[in-house]
Amino acid sequence: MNGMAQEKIIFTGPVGAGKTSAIAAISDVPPVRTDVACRGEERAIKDTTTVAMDYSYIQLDDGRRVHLYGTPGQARFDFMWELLTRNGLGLVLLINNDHPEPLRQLDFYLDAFADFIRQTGVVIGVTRMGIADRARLDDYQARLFERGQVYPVFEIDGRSGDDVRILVQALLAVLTI
Amino acid sequence: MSNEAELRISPVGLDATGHKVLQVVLALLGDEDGIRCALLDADDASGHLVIVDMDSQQGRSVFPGLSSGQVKLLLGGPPASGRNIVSLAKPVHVNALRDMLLKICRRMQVQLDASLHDLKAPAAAPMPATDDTAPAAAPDLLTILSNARREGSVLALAIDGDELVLVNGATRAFAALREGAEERLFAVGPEQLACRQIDEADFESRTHGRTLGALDNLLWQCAVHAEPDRLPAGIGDETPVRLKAWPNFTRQGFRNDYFRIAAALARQPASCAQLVETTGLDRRSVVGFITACNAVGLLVALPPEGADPEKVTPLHKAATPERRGLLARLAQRLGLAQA
Repeated sequence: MNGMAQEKIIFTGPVGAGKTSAIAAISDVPPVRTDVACRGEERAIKDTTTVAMDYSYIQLDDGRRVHLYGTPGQARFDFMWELLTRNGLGLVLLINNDHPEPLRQLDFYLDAFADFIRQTGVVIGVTRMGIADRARLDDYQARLFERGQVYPVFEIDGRSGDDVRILVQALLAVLTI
Repeated sequence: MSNEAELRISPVGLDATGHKVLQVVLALLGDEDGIRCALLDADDASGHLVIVDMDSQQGRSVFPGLSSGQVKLLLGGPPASGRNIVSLAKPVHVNALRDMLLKICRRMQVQLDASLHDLKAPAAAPMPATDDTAPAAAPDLLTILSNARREGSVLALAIDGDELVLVNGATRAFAALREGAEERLFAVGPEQLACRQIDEADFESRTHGRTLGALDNLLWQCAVHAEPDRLPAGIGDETPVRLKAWPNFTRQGFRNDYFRIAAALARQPASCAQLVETTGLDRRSVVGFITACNAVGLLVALPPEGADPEKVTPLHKAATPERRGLLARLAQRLGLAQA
């Protein structure tokens, strides 16, 4: 994994948050996906899930590529997260608002990627808000306030290129200031 | 006076003696003149009347950011003139301050009651007769909405007697009664704007079946539309401010310049002047952002040392120039405004 490209943006979040769709929405080529059939609780959410990672890229006008990696959704693959984030540009955290406890998911991922976020930056996209109103955007902001963190939070449709571009735009603002 | 709107007074930069003199004067005004005022905390410059000690650092810092609609009583400092500005030389004696406040408060009370209870706001009552004062301005839309949000009041907003928007500050909701009502309100000056208090039941019955919007959204749009060139009351050019949360741009529209300012403030508290320097944006953008965030309660003004970068731990490291170049190319490639 040491040869993994350095110019990369990491997409993370729980199963069903829309990481694969979000990468596909802005990348130049369809993501390479490693999906397998879900088992257990995950099967209730989706039929297949990413067990290793998603990968695609955006080619810049100078020939360089910004690589887009999606982390495995399941916490049991968290050993890969540190490898994936090494030398990354920043983090896009997608939270599925349809999850029974979306704010706990937020806490979990912010804690899991705390070092990477400290070194770079994060933007949070909340998906599936129209499907379940388990938490409002204000609730996410309030939780971040309790944590003493001011991070960009947006309600998005992970399948929408425009929505994902807004996430990236906010991430770039955070990273370049 | 119990049925009258309460006049709020902000003391800014007053020392302990100044505070005592002011408290004595306010007690006399209440007991002997029947004028009751609420004295706000020393760090709250949102009052209808702001008493500023211009010999203090805080006073000099806060004064430039006060709203044009607020009446300013300046104690000490160099002579000042302008709209809604009254000066009083030091040393400030109880009798002199009492006489001055009596004139100011009586005039302001008339205005305040009118703005809250009348459908059509009357022409502003003149300030006490001094050479340096002009008539007090009618409250602008942003002030009216901000006050409604803070005080939980329920209002009907109108232009030329035509009620356009109902606002419920208690539930932080609003309803437009006409298509394009918000834009019409944004477009008129305070002199054309009228508001009156209504009760909750009236609000409920008249908004039944209508789409309710978030008052914060209306406030944000109002602040952005106003493109203010002056910072909100209590925030000067050098006053550091802290962002409590990233604004809800999903609801309030996306602006890349605001992304940059929010990102800068998310890193650490900063003043308006520092934000202009850090972001490279023009002052009007920064003032607009600060005004909008302040209107929806997302900002905290800090004492001057709050902006000291050595006392604040940045949330993340700044990008290297090489990385900035890469990110700029990425923004261009994705068709985003330059980040």
